[in-house]
Amino acid sequence: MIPMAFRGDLEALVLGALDGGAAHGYEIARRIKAVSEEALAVGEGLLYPALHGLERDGLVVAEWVTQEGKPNRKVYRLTDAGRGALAKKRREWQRFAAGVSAVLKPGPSGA
Amino acid sequence: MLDAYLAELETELRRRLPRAEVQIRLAEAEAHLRDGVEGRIELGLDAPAAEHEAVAAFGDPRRFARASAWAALAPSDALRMRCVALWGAGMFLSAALVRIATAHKLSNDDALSFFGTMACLVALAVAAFAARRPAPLRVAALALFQGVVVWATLSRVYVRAADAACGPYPRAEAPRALRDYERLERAWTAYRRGGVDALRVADGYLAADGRRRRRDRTEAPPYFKLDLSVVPDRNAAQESWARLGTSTGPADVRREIAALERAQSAPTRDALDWIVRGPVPFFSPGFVVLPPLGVDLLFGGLGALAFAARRRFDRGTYA
Repeated sequence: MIPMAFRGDLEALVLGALDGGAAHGYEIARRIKAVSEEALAVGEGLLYPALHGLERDGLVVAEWVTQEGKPNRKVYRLTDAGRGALAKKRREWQRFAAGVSAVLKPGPSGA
Repeated sequence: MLDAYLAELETELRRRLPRAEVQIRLAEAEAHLRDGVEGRIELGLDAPAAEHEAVAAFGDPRRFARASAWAALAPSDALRMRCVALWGAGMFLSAALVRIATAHKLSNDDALSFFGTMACLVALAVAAFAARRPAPLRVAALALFQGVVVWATLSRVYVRAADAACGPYPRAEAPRALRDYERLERAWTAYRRGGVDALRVADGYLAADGRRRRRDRTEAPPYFKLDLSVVPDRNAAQESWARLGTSTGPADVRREIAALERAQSAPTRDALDWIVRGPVPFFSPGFVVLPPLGVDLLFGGLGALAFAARRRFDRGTYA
């Protein structure tokens, strides 16, 4: 059984967004929305518990960045373990997507 | 609006997380929201609309707080492995304790219950302490509950062992039987010191000057009356005691006393010591709090279901 839920795996999306480079939470949400061409709109608040879970599991590391005149911001980036996890998620998603596509493909008599 | 939202968020976080964690979560949320407001203003929205949209996009503060608390409390994979190892060690310890307890000829029916109870105890303790923010009262309540369950489980173990040691003899009579044995030992000591007469004096049948103090009955003396209603050969007991008066030496007396003991079908002195002065009196009241294995597993199962349901809810999905 492939562990990814049909509606999406938030940790996988976060790992995928961080593959493009270190980012803070707002940037991650923006990347997901932009790259998916707004097909995916993440509940932005829920990104942070996912990020903290990934940080706890060692898949991402974070550091606080000070900004002049603005609140400090926590920036996340992938670790090697995170990259490995992302690769695994990609394989699982490809298998899942291929399976769903095969099932949803119209039959010979379908439209 | 943003400030009101952050105040509500802080309230929700404070209910679920330690102060340090609250500050971190709040700082991240504030930075995110302010970035969101800025970005929307750059796109042409006015400030109130930008704040409204940013807050709506961030989500319900209660849901955020719950998910944050879960993320703070959920065990990592490494900790999960330690939990499994501890649980396994708990099972092994339980099995070892049961094995030791079988030296007291316990019924095997209780082994599985005790085994399961100890495993649940270890799992609950590890789950409680695995939280980043262990709640002392909750842990204490869990420990107390499981302590009561363990005590009650052991009570079944010990009570059954005591009943097995007593055999047909009523366990409630064990203290009286032990007192009778101790009187028997005192009589034996008196006999060794001064012969049959000393024994009869110690037993109260003769005064120190040799005068008869009690009617010389043919029935056995009190400390041999170990519930004679259940002894098949009461006559044998009485005849043995009568022969005791004519015995010539310690070996004869010991033989007669041994015969009386066998006739009475009472538990052995060691068994009575264990039943009356061992762990049984401490555990036996818990017998009324019978912890069937199913009850413990039911609680564990319900807890696991609630845990899984809460985890699924708080992890959240994207819209």
